[in-house]
Amino acid sequence: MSEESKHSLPVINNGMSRRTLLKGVGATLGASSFAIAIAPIAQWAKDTSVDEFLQQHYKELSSSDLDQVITRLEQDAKDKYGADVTIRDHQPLPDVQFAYALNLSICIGCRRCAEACHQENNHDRATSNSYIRVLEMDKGSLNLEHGKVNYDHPVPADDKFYMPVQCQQCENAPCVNVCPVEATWQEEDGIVVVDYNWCIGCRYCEAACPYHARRFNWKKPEIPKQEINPKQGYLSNRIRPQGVVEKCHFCLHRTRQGQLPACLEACPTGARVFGNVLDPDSEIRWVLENKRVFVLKEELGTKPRFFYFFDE
Amino acid sequence: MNKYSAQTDQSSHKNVLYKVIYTVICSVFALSVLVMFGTTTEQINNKLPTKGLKDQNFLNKVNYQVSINKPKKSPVVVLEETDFHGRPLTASCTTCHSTRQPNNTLNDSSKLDEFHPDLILNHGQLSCMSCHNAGDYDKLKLANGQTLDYTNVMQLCAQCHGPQHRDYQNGSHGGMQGYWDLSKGPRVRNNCTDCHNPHTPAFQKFRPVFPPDRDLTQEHSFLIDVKSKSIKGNIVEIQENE
Repeated sequence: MSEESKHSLPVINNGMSRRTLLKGVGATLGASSFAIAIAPIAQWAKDTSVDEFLQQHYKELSSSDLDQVITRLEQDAKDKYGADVTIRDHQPLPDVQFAYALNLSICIGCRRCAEACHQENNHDRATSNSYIRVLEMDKGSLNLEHGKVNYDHPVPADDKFYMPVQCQQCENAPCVNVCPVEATWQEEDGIVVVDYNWCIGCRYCEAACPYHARRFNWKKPEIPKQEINPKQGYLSNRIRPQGVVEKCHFCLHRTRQGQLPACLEACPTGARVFGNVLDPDSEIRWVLENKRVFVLKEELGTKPRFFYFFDE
Repeated sequence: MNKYSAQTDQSSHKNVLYKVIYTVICSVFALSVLVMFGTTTEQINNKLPTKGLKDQNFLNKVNYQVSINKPKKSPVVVLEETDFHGRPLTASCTTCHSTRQPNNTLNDSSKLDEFHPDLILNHGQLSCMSCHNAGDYDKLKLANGQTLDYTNVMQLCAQCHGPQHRDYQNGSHGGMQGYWDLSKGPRVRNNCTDCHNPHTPAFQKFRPVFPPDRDLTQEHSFLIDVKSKSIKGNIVEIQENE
């Protein structure tokens, strides 16, 4: 009898067993699904240099590392935006604790502070992003959730008052507590900062903040070359990458050099008071000692550094 | 015996060889870890001092002043006539007023037939002569009759607006620019008349300057509407606003 007669069906290839075939199919599927799974990384790698990918946390950078990082970021600004910028690493001043107060009796809701923030901090022009939201509130109410942001009529309207809200620089900051990678922390002078190169963009902090103070960069910020503010800080107003969270930093690139924040300078009524609470002669100290100040959502125990008050 | 000793020699040689290989691998690994994370002692040492702006006694040094914007020495009326270069001529207050009798009870410019017809006086119960000086129209007058230069106008305002003046003096009223830290730079402050028209001092209503980025109430209504009403319309709205 010939070979064929032994089997009921013809044998195609004796060399490969069913097991080997299944292994091969499995390996191919596995390899291709892995390739698909890491494809976004390959895409992302186009925009991210190796240096950027390997960069350490801000607190772990040596001064020479930081110099290299800053040189790279300045070059990036030149390449991507065509702007000559200077990025500095402003350190907290010794014996300084910043605080902010806002007089709700004289705020007229003109939104000049939001505009100044927009320009000072190199925000995306298309979304008119700003760290400050001015809420139009009914007199007699302090419910933030009912504050109207997109009012567009002559201000100040009768029966309304205006409450600008920005980062409250909490002592017990929920945003800092929830960050899974410690990309955000409170500095010695009380300012809560973000390392934009360490942030993974999970937006936990944005969800945790009771004051809606954090913003997410959905897109790469677009700013015309001539409108870019060239005086930048590593932890403050340098142009943020896409996919990271940002927030008000009390203009630390200005305030740590002794200047007033941009929103305060823009305020036409002088509703904003800023200074060092450790200085007994400072304006902020006078306000805290002589006005009936309050903080927003005190019951949450966040201990803000941003105070509000009304004139008696 | 020989057989056994030979065997033990061989195995001890092997052990030494393994130990050497093990040590080499470990040290290579340790070195690569060091290189990767860059924590050599040299780098640790130069980590601390160079960052930052160190200035220890900054609180004690007040090198700069707070200056207050001052209004012009005295206001002028712009005339219709122009001079040789085409610049409009101006006249000081005394040009006309030195020949006219003051009207101490006048408090409404619509009663004037020649000059200042557009001026709107809406400042409490004040009349013109409450602040203007009948003796010298290029100066102001305090409530006690004392003459006051226009440049010191804040003193005039402070007579009635005590709380505002107190807040101003303590830095919580009136716009300012410059430095909070006077050891690093000066500060410039507005005076009353930079923001308030002395004849109609209440802040005039005007349109807000800057479009907002997102509306909390809309976001909120979005959360509610997911359960009840149209979802699509709200999503479009939010995307537009972002």
